[in-house]
Amino acid sequence: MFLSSLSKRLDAFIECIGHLSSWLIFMLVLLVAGNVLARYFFSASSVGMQELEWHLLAAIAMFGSVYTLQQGEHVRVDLFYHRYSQRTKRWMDLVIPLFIIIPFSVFMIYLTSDFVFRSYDIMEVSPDPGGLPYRYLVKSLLPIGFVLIAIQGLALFLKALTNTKQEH
Amino acid sequence: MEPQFLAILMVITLFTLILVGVPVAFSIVAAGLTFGLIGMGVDLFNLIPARIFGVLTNYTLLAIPLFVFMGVMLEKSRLAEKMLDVLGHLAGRLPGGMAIAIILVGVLMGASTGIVGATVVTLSMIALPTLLRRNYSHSVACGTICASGTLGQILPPSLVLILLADITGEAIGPLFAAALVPGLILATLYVLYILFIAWKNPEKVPAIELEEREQYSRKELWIEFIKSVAPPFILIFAVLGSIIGGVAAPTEAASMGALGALVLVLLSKRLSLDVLRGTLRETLKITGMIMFVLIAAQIFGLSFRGLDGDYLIEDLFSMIPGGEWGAILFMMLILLVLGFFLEWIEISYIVLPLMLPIFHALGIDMVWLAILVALNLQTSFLTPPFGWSLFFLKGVAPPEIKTIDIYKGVVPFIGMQIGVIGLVMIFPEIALWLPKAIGWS
Amino acid sequence: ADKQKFRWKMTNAYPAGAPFYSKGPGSASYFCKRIDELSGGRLKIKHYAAGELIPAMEGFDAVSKGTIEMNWANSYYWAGKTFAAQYFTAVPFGMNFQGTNAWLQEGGGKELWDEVYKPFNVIGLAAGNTGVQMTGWFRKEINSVADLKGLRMRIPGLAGKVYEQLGVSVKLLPGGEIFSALERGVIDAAEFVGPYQDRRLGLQKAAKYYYTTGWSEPSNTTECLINKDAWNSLPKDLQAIVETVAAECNLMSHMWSEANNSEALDDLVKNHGVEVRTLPDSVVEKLKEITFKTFETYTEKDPLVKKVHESYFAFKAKHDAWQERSEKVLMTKL
Ligand code: NA
Ligand code: NA
Repeated sequence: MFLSSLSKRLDAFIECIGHLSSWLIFMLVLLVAGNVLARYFFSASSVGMQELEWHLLAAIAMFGSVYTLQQGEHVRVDLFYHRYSQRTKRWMDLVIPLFIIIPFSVFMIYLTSDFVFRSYDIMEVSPDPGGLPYRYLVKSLLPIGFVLIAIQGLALFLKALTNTKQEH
Repeated sequence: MEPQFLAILMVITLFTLILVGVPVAFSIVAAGLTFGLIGMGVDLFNLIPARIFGVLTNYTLLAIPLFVFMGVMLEKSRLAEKMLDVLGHLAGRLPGGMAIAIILVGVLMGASTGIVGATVVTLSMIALPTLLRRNYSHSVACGTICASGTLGQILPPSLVLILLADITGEAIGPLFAAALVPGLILATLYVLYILFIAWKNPEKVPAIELEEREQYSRKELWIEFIKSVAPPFILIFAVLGSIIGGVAAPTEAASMGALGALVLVLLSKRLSLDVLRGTLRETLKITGMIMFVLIAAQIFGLSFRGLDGDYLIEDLFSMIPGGEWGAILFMMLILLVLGFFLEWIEISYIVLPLMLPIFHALGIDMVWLAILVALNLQTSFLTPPFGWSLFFLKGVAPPEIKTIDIYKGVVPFIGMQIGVIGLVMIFPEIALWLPKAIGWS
Repeated sequence: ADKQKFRWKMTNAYPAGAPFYSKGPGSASYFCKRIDELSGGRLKIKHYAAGELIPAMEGFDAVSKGTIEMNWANSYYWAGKTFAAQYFTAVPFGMNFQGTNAWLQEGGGKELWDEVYKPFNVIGLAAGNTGVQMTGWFRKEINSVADLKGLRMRIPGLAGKVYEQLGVSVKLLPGGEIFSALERGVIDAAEFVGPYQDRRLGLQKAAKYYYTTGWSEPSNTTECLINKDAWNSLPKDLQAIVETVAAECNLMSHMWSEANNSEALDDLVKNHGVEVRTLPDSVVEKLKEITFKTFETYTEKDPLVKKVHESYFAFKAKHDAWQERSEKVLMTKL
């Protein structure tokens, strides 16, 4: 019971993050279009604003990956899958988070944290003068994204676990 | 163990996991990590963060969320529905008229958006019930919808072309221009095929009944025509016009399309907080799905190179007879076969980068090659058992549509696709003429 | 002697097809091949073009961490990590090929380079030079400082910051997008490299006026970056081979550039209707003034930048005086 409610809470948390971050796309549309129009009509441009475009893309990509996982939208080939018994499918739901999603994201958290710390240690900034400072902030989207993927992996695992238990 | 042996094992494991039904992105991750760690240890994986960061900050890929936003917005605005109705009625008593209308809508929607899922799902939901009610042959109906839905992948702007520009290092503009003529030839062939059926087996593609046709007067129909066909034209104009007119770089033009879609839906008084929220969430989901596969591909790609798999591919190509034509045909064949069970994004980001250096070394025109690959990938959307189009159609089709109807229906269209690929191979000018005429190459 | 064999990896900031950087005389692949030959196969370096192992701009971290032993790029790409790196590639209103290399070898430049890179556990070797670059391509003539105002230009780096202060609107674009942007008028001007490389992009079809000479990059050094631990692990003879081949590439790539640029510029003018122009003195003066003000903002902040800056420009003053009475006379009087 506890595991089931924990799973639901984690899942709801990730969904909430997905909903919030979907507004980044709206910001991206306005930002890129704004940069184009400002340059065209006012010959105005800023290196920082142009860099912000791909900073937003990085956030959209990481949070989007998590949201897709939460929504169960990662594509699979159902050539054999659709013929599996419910039991087999449940086993797969248990095994995939446990042996793939969680270990993978933990390893990524380890690797990407070092990537961020190196940037933080030297207070890395954009190599283009006029670009954005604090490059470690955009780099830290990587470990943050993988932490969220790990959390969603845990939620999926717990959900599958309680489902399998109910079956017995 | 020889590293190259591990590379082969890794590829076999990847395909096994995918076929077993593990989601594709996680199959890539699992195979890549396992064999990479066995063969090279942890050390080389220190490059992974840089590789992922490179994907997340890629200027070319910026176009993906923007174009997806545009497409989803257009889908949610239900403009396609109206368009299809009007075009179908305009065809009058011509057998096959509805099918031709579907192809035209596919061209217009595809040219303005370029998301295969959105187009196929929209076309299926609005057209399939009507076609069935009008006693269309199940297989012709399904084949037409699937094929028309994939036209957007070759007609610019398209996500396939954007990713190919990134992989080949070509600019997006010339690729868009080069894809236009082959795409239009395909659409024309589709129409001719429907006309051929209408002539041979009119009962498979019956015309709209007289009484239903009389609902609209001719004048009403043309007014509706302007109202419903104009919006996608405005979007095409917003995107291609801002590239050609020098307002925006191709990647930025996507933002003009996205803004255009927003304005369009606003003007048609269909913009609500719910529509916007739904569009943003859908866009985030599709973008996340694509970007995560690209992230996963970084791990697999690194392991494959680390295990000297690139030498393996070189050796493989050096064994193929027939020089550069042999190499091109071999690549096309591999892509087509992979397309039976792999997704285009994986093919693009895992398989292509390994083969491209060979074609670079042979001095082959990358724009031409990219168009061949794009046509090939577009065909892969249609190839059973796994093609996006078939998948999406089955997802929304009524139960009387059997999988076999869909498979049977797409076969002639796959034939036409392969025909056009052959044409572009033999006459590269079909693709290269337009970018040259504009002065882009 | 020590017969230990070494297997190294070298990444490159430039793509596989790039002449000068990836293939041809004095390029990265040439560098690896020569070292293999000269060391009798004892030091084998596998070359990976941009994107094959890591993206173009990620070489520094990989070498600093030691995952990769070598990287081929330009040091100014690392200006976001340590601004002084700018001085070891190209300095606006700085020195030409001869002066730059004289400073590096005899003027204390190389020692400063080592000092700047010390915290990162890497060393840099000069391993190539484009020679003097060009100001860039303009769709309209520039006759006064006012003509720069509102101009939309593709120009990265420090020069971009300088132009920006004169009212230029700076657009960041990858190399592959420059042509279509310039051709369609998304931008009005673009800086890339020099005649040979620019002609490859087709920029002559997009803009008529080709301004000389490259005030922002009077020469441009290619950097071979090496992890220090890996370097220290090499026996003396292999170290000597690496240094020798780097020096060879530094010279060979420059000769390649001189030959190809003279052919290309001649072709551009004779066969493509390109008009070569020089910036008016008033514009050059203004650019110079702003450049040195911009330098000041960096030298004030960072004592290491100040030290490198002063060494560089002190050497330049001496070298200029010599050039004034030698090369200049050669060029103008003989
Ligand atoms: Na399209
Ligand atoms: Na397929």
